[in-house]
Amino acid sequence: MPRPDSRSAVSAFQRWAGPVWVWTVVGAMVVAGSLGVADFALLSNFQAVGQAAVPLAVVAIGETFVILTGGIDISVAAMLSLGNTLSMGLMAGHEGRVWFAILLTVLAGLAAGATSGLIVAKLRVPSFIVTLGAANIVQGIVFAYTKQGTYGSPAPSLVNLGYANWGPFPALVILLLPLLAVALWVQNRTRAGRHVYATGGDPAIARLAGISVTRVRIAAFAASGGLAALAGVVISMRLGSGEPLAGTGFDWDAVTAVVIGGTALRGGKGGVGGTIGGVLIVAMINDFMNLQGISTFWQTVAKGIVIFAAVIAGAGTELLTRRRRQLLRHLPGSAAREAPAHG
Amino acid sequence: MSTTLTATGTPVLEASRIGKRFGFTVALDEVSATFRAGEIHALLGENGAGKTTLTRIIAGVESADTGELRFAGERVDFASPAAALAQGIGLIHQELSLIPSLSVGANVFLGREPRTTRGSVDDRAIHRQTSAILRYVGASCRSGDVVESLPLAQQQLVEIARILDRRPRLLIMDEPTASLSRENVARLFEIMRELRDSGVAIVYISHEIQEVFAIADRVTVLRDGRVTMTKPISETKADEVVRMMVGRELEALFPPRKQVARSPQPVLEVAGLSLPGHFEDVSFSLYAGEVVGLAGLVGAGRSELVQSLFGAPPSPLTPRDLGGSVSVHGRRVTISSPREAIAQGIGLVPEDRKTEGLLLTLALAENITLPQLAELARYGVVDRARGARLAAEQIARLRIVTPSAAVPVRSLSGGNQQKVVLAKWLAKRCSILLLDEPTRGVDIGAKTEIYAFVRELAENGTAVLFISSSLPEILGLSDRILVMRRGRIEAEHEPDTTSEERLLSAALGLAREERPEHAEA
Amino acid sequence: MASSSAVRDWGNALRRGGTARVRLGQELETYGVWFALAALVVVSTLVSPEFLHTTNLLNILRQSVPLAIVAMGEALVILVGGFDVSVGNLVTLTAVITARVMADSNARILPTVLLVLAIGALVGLTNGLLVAKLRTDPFVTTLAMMLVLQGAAYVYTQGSPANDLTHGFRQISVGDVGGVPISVLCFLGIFALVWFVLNRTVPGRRLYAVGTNRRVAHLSGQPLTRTIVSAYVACSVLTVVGGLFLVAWIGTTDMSAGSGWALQAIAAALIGGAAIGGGRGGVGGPVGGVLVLTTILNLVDLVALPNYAKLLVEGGAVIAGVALYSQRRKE
Repeated sequence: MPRPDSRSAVSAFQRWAGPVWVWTVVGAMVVAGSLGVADFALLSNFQAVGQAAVPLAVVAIGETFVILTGGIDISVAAMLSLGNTLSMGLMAGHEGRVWFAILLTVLAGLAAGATSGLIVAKLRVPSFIVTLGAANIVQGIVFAYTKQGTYGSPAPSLVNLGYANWGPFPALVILLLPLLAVALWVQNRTRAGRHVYATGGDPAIARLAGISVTRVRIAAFAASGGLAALAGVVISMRLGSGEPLAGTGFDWDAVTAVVIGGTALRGGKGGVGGTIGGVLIVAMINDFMNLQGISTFWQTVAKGIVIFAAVIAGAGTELLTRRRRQLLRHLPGSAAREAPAHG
Repeated sequence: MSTTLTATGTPVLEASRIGKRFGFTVALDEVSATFRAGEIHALLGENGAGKTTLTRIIAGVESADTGELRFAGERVDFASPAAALAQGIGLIHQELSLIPSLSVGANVFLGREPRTTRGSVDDRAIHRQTSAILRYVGASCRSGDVVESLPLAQQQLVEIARILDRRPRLLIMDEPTASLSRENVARLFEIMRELRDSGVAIVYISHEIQEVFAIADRVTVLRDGRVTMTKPISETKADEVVRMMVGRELEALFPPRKQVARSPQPVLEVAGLSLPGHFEDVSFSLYAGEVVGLAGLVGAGRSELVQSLFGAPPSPLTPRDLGGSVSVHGRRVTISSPREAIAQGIGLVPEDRKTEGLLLTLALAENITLPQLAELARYGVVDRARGARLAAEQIARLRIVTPSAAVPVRSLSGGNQQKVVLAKWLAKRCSILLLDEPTRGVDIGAKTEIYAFVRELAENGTAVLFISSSLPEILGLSDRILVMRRGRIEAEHEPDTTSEERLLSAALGLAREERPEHAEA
Repeated sequence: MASSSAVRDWGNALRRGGTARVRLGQELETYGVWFALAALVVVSTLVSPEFLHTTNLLNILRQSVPLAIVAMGEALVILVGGFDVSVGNLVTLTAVITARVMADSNARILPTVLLVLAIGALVGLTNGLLVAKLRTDPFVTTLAMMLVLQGAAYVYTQGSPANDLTHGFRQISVGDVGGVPISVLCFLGIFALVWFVLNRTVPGRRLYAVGTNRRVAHLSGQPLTRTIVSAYVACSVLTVVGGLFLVAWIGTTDMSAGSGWALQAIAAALIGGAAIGGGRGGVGGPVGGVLVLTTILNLVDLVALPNYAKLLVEGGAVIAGVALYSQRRKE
């Protein structure tokens, strides 16, 4: 039975940009904010929202891959602090060390993430416990490294990049685009991406199809660690130094953005595009509340409630789909009642 | 990927003296078979005869204990289904091996995605090739559809397409038609004939005997893990095949039946019971003191029926999805949970004792007293002395061999574990006992003992309904036999006037004349 | 160690013809944690001469009490196959509410305690109903609860530190009777109660049954929802009790009161013989796990290691617990 072609256009949109409703919410928030919130609709405010959202976007992209495999990475906050202090320590204000520092920092994040991934994949234990433990260890190392104080400084060329605009666009947003493009390409256009979805969808079946589930999981955690460390570099452009607690709060914000962006916590569904929408929603909630003078305290409550809602909605739809599929079953073998004629 | 196909009649796969055990059960005992190019080879046998185990070994899902496989003349031992598939052995079975959240195309090419020169996955090629193979198998879904959004029949066709796209030289089909529509089945048979004519060797497992005679060239019958017959289909008939399927050996002894006067009122009366997708319009009655056997093929809906009677239909369905009525001791009841079933005096010995019957890591005593935990307590505090006495009683009564009531059930043998499951309900003194495959994976000694207990229970006034896939067991133990097929009760037989062949024919749908002569009111 | 305490309990009851005798040592099912504690005591004594001083040992015990109570609660939730990561922020919320509401008034002790216990019960009920009824993932569900509780604590206090507590209430953590800390005596009472409920009563045995295998428990007529919810409620209520002991111990409080406690409680439970997925362990092992953690942290203080070494210890303990767990499962 032929279907209208709009259907495949929608599914293509969803593959790259995430669920339509996420972007509907983003659009509605922009409209509502412009109408209802003073100072929201200013170009400078949009630029500020964009600048503030980029570090979270970098972390959340990595987190998306982990959640797509069916895991969760709670260590991203500590990894971000590590990336922030390590890169600033290595750079120490020298222009010539920029690339060296960034490269080494990202490698450190990759290695730390891969270690968590190895433990998760090999010991087959819940990833949240492993990464909770890893978060403590990494944070301890950060404190040891920085003597618990502000540490290092960015090269002059990086200072203020976090607040700069290139034309009407924030510099950080433009710098994010290549990263986003690569992430989307890996997700939708490579074997690795496809195997991430398969691993999260059903690891046993993925294994039967010859996919190394272990390798996929390790790679996802490594990517998450590397990107969180990179986000630490990005945030130094806004902080102007290395702060041992730079990452505080990024763990839950990242999970919130990914979940709001339509990626299922059970794995196998969703993607980076929706996560960007989720990041924008989180950033705009923060912006609204800041503009309205609502305390950050309420923002925490709001995030908790949003996750509750996402969890309940997810569990509800899961139950409903399973039920519907059961109810649609034929009686055993009833369709093939009569044997076809000979010949 | 084109494979050079062998000339018709040359052996593609030779299995010789394959042996496989699961615990006590010998699944395959020196089975040898040859599957030839250009031949559709049907594999028949009762539930548990070893057909599925044999195909799983050939396709690399499991490995054999003994014997060897030769594929295209070379000795092989596949580590995984992926490895077997890469070599040209494709297995299509009922359990879908699709990732529900991925698209049809992604599933068809999972683990072997074609790539463009730039290194990306070539989605155009996937789309093109998937569309072609879907058209070929007669599926109406599209390459871009997400698998979980499709009806079961389409998913089954995707599964078939996924395997056929690999152009296997040996194609194993384990009941591929179970969820397909008539048109789909007709198309599938056309494809099977085409493949055969192009030199593919096909192994075909089905419970639909008519289908087998319509399509197969050769038939091999398995019984108790041994080959009992292998013949060209033209040289045999349905009744011979059925004869070769039945006659399983069973050394266990059955206790003599004693005629108990039937009370006028049934203990359990089921009228028009239905559960969407599992069974439909099931009616029967159960009287005190009788043992009723429930025969039928796996998937006929027997387990789901007893689970539903016990207030636990298969998840995510709930007792609210049940239609029809159930009466216990003449009073109409709504059983919405096992708790209520137990309160009505019903007990269930489930099919799989390890995942449904026993808390393996906990003590014997704790398992035996679990159904009456609350009654053993005063003010919420468990009377452990009473519990221990109760457990000791049952251990003695059922002659459970154990060092003490304190050891974890896991440490017992299969037969003794099964007795513990029985003991749960004996201790509870149920008036209706539902048994689902009560002697599976149990040694002969324990089987004999279990039969004796069941009979003893009946003589003491319990009404017993038991499911078994072993026809000798059904014949030996039952006072009456109900045959279930495709979710309906198809026939009622008396053990004295029926035979294994007649029961199997009814279960297979070959004998339609035997309707229940008196609809139990 | 495969067998649960229940195994031995039934066995003992049987062997002695039903005379039930409480044998604490048998409940402490994973002896491993106690050996580890003994080894740790020996090492600590060698490393630091101050370790064996009575004041130091009593200090360790006092310090352990709040976390040990929380860890018992966490162990109950893990036993039934779940998780609760909201305990840390529930401790914080308990502490700030108690400090504010009770303040310096002895007359308010009882109403305040009842209020926070009610809040705890409500939190546990919410977690439990979502997990049991809607089958949401326990980790994410309690994570959302964690954020709500954290936000609630901030909103309630606006981030400012609380008043000093009334001296009468603080006695439960700082006072002693004949040299024995009152908090330790209280703890023994609470432990005995939880142990008794878990091992001797119907709800307790149901936790084991449901945690070992939900389907089997269901098919044996045990109520699933009620059992799972009761575990979460017990966990949250015990967490509130632990929070009360904590706030009485430190006297005043800030937002970091319970930070890291979820992790420590889970680590203690895993070290003490609990198994992710449920059905294993009791409440004795987790208490041993807490003593191990506190002793290590005490040692870190004694040898004057920097504060962040504690983070490494906690993280290492979790990874060790996880590694132990995966061993336990392979049996």
